[in-house]
Amino acid sequence: MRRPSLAIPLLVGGFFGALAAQTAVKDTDFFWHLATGQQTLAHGLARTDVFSWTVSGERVLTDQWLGDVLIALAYTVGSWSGVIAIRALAVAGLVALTLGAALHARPGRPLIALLASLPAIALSHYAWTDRPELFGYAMFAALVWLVRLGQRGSSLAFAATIPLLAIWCNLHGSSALGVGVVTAVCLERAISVPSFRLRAALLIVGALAATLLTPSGLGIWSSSSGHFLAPPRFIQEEGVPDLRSEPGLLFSLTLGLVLATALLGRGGGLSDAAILVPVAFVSLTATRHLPFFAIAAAPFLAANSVDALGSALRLFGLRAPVLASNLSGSAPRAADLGALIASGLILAAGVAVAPRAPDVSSFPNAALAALSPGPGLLNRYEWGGFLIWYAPATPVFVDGRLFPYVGDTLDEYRSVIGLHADWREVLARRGIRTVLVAPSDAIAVRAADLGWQVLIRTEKYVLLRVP
Amino acid sequence: MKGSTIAAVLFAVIAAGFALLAPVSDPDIFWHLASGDWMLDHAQLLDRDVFSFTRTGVAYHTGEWLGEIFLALTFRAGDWLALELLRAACVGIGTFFAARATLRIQPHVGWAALPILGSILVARTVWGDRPQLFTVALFPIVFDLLLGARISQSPRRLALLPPIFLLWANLHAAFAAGLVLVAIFVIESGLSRVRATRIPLLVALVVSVLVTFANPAGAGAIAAGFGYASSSGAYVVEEGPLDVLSGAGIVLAAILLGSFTIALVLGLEGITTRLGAPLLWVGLIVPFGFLGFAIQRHAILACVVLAPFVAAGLPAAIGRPVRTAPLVPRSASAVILACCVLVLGIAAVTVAPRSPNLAAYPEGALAALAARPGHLLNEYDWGGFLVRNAPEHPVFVDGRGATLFLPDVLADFDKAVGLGPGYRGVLDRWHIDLVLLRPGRPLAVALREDGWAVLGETARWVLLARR
Repeated sequence: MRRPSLAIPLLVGGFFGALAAQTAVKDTDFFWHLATGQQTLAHGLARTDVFSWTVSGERVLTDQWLGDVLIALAYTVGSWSGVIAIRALAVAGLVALTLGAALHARPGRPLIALLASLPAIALSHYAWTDRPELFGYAMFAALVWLVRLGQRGSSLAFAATIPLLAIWCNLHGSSALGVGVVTAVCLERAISVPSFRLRAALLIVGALAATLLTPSGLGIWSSSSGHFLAPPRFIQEEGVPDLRSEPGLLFSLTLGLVLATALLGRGGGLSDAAILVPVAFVSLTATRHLPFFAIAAAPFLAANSVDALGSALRLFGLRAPVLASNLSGSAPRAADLGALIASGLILAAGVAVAPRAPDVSSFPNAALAALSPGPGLLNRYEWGGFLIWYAPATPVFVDGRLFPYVGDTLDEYRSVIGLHADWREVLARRGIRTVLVAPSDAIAVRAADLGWQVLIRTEKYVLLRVP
Repeated sequence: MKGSTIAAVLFAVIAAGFALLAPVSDPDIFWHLASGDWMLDHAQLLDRDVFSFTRTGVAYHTGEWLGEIFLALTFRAGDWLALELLRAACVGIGTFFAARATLRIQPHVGWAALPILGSILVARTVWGDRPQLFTVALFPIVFDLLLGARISQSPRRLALLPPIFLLWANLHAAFAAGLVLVAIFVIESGLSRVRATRIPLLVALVVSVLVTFANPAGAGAIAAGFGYASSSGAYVVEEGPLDVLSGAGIVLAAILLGSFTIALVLGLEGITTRLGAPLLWVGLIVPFGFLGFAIQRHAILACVVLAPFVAAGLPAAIGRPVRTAPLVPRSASAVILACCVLVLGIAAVTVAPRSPNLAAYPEGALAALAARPGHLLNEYDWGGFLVRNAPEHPVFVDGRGATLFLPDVLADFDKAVGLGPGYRGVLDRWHIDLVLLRPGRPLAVALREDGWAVLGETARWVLLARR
């Protein structure tokens, strides 16, 4: 098999990585990831909560520990620039791997590969934030490339999916999708190629075993299945994908292109179906999963879309240009090495001009000084991570880690913030002393009615003392 | 008689029988009935609001005036049972033509049954008693007409399209989806140079578009139809995106992703051989697949359009031979049809509910409400119920939300019931004396605390009055 050139994927990856670096750190969940990573580096892996006063000492998920540690290491090495650098690197990797897989599917046609990868780049850009989730997308792009190579006969590529999954499982819970794809591909190949059955069985067992090589053990499956089968819809990115929104339209365009390509294609694409169909279903389950399909579809579109367009033109009675893959020549390693260096330089330049400080304008920054140490604060859900990092002496009521709070704590949070009938009971039972919420929240409006003392107030937040 | 026609009748009877089992409970039926009654009583079109005190006299068009009159006449003819029979008739007609369209492409009843039954399951989500029922019946009729004309290349039946659209444009606003369907056939016929149908289809489309102008909104009805489709669904659940993890979502996903798998396996050649008209399937599957997931009430339209492809494509993909429809002797056909009529008749007499299910409505509040004058702030979902059952209290808002109450009245409603900043201003501006809400609403909690009198309450509703 001819070794494909990596120069273009590396350079394009470097460009988009540098582009991704131009946004300041501001993700609502980033800060608790950072705090968790630092906690792990300083004291070892914490299996119980140390940041809240509502579930303190109770078990927490450890399914993203390596992702958190990577973020914390980046921060330790390079402060906020370090965080941006690792984001840029992850985006560069995601784009390069997606484009690389597409180029491998259509060798020598970089423009077609790039066009086929654009939906993935466009859809994933909503997730170019500082969370382990971004590593998950990059790992998925790597997995797609490996299984595509495997489908072309590379046993080594199939085998490489196992260590990839072992790492991925420690980075982010989206690894469950990877296991699903490996299983589907192996089953399809076992049906199509009887001699592959033993290897398929070994690969499936290996993939499942790899998921257990985490501090969570079997617990990783409860976290992943919780997200995939019962996504918490009240979180925006876990919501039902709205196909009339901007990311929804991008996804629809991608799905439409892939469907049209399949309908006008060569057929015999059961191996494509093994990857694309399950990923399409998962992508439809939640907004945050939309990019997966576009990443998986890039090699398929690169390989088939031009031929499908030609078929359509012939059906219209028009002449279709023949655009065969350019297989001549071999990719010089020197060119790849040069591209790697150039890509690194582009990334470095991007990080060099990136914002040096986080953008905390959407957080209650000015309220920090007025917070009392110790338990008693009820804070808005999306500000929990920010408070964990910036006000470590004031444990939070709730934060973006979600799962430790599901049940009583989340219900109590909703009761108070949404002024349910038992809101006063919750205040008394929990001993809530201060409330940090948005001025538009029902509890803030009610507090104004009742004349509660306002400790600090801006357009975006208000800190109230409970009488 | 063809066996496929008999099978279509049987599917229709199954669907109609199921449709008969449910009592009337749709929250919108009550204001549709009230609107129809008003038009019948006043012998004029209802084009200005007469039911609310927030929009009194404001001009509006639901695009469903004839549907509302039809519903009101039906109710006058036979009370709630008549509405259930109308529902069963619309569902039965829609299912018959959807099944017939599928059986045109796949005469084998076993293969056709899978997507047809799936479509019936999805359709159950839109069996509410409202003018949308007419779309449930008319869309499959139009699809079957078009498919029949395209396959047999006999354009005579296309003459039926203009009268259907004339009726549909006055019954329900979703006639726009039917026009899109015709347009797809026109484009495909033109691109594929199908001599027999390309001009007749174009003429049918042009005339159909022109006759839809013959409604009270004129040409604005088409724009309203498309505008409705592009609305966000923020207030109307069924206008929102379809959750792929819901029952209907799983079925539609199975049908759409099944189509995708079939397309990948068969490719252009296989589709041309087994289903014919490959461009037509591209034109149908891509836009209607999008529509089904973008707007959940249209999931059934997507199922109707995709069902023939799945029914014929699935056996082709696994190498099963083509079957033809068996012929059933006239006498046997007559016996089967008579049995169907008998079964439906028995179902109507014995199991069809005779009264509506009002468990979701504040029926117990009506007496207290009648005894107390004043402006009422009511739950959105209960507006229609109050329009019909408490006419002495014009409503604050009702199910005509997107047509009549956007943006300011619904914004005021949200602000008030969610206890947003300025909620007191809303209560004062509209001179609210009475509040009928779910007990968990922040406004209900706050007003109780502020000493509003509780005129009545259950676990589902609370009626409060200003002292």
